[in-house]
Amino acid sequence: MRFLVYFVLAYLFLPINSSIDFITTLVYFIILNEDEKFSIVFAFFAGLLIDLYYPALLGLNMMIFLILSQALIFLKKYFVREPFTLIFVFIVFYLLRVFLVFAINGLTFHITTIILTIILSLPLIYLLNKICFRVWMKS
Amino acid sequence: MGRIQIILFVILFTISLIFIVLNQNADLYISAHISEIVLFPVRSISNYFQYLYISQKKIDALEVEISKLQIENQNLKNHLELSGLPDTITTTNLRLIKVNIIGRDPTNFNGYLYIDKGKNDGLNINNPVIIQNKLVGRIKTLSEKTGIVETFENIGFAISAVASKTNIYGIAKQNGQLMLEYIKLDDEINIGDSVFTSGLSEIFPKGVLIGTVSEIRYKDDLYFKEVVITPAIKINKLNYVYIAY
Repeated sequence: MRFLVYFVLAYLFLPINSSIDFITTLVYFIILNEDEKFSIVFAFFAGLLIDLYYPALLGLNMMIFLILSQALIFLKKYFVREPFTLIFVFIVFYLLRVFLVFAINGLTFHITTIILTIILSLPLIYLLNKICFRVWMKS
Repeated sequence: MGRIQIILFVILFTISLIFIVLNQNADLYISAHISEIVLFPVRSISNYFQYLYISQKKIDALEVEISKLQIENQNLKNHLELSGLPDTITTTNLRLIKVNIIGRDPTNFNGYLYIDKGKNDGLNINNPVIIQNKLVGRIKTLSEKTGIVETFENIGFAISAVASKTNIYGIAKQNGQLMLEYIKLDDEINIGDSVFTSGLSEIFPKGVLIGTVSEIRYKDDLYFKEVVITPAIKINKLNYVYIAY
C-alpha cells in the first residue's frame, strides 16, 4: 500500500516538478526509509518520469538519480535522523543533482525552484512520514 | 551491498547509459513509445482538466451570447407590441462580461454585491448589471480589480420603467418594497403585467425585465396609485452576474 502511495505521489508531483522539485524529495525520503532494492528501482523510475515529462536528454535523470541514490544508500547508515542533519544531507543531495544536470546537459535550474525545493523539503518529509509511517519523524 | 542490488544497479545504469548515448532520433522514437504507457495517468488527467477548462470557456461565451439574445429578443417583442415607442435595438453594440460575486453586504441592508472585476477589465461606474435579461443593478464603485454593485434592493435605487402591455411609464423605485411610482389613478395597469427598463435613462438599455406587478393600492393620494413590483430575480441567490458596457 505504501509503495502505491509513492507511485501516486510521483505522478502527482510530476506536473509541478519544474517549479518545486518534490520528486527529488520523494526519492530522498524513499532511500532513507525503504528497502535498498526498491529505492534504486524507484529512483530509476522517477528519473524516467522526469525524462519523459520534461524531455531534454533521455536517460539523464535516470542515471543521475541512480548514482545519487546508490551513494546515499552507502552513506545513510552514517548519519542520525534528526531534522538538521536530514535537511543538510538533502541540500547536498539536491545540489549535486542540480550540478550533475548542468554538467552533463547544460540545463540550469531556476533559483526560485532550488530555494522552494529546499525550504519545502523538510515539511514534505514530515508529511510523508506521517502518511506512510504514522509518525512525524522516523528515528 | 547485496549481489542482487549490484546486478540491479548495473542493469539500470546500463539502460540509462544506452538511452544517453543513443542518437536523437532513436531517443525521440523510444520516448514517444514509452511515454504513451508511463505517462498515461498524467496525460489522461491533464486532458480531462483541459477539456473542462475549454468547456467552461465555451459555456461562459454561450451564456454571454444568450443574455445578449434575450435582451435583443425582448426589444423586438416590445417593438412589435408597443408600436408607439421610439425603439432602437440597443443590444447590437452591447458588450457583456461575466463577473463572479465575491462578497455581499452581510446585513443585506444596502443590497450591495462585491464583484471580481474592475477598471482593468474595462468597466465603468454606472454600468448596468443584469442576469438573463433581468435587472440586478448598476456599478456603484470600482477599484482596479474589483467593484461594488448597487442592486435594486438598495433603498433609494430608482430607474425609469415601462409596463409592457399598457405602455405606461413610471419610475421603479426601492422604498423597502420595489414600487412603480408616478402611475396616475386613471392609468391602465394590471396585476401580472411585466415591468421593463424603458431605455430612457442613459444607464440602462431598454427591455431589461425588472419584475411583475403584484399589487395595486389606492390610497389618499389624489393623483397617483401605488404599484408594487415583485422583482424578477432574488439577489441572494446570485453567484455571478453580467455587466453591460
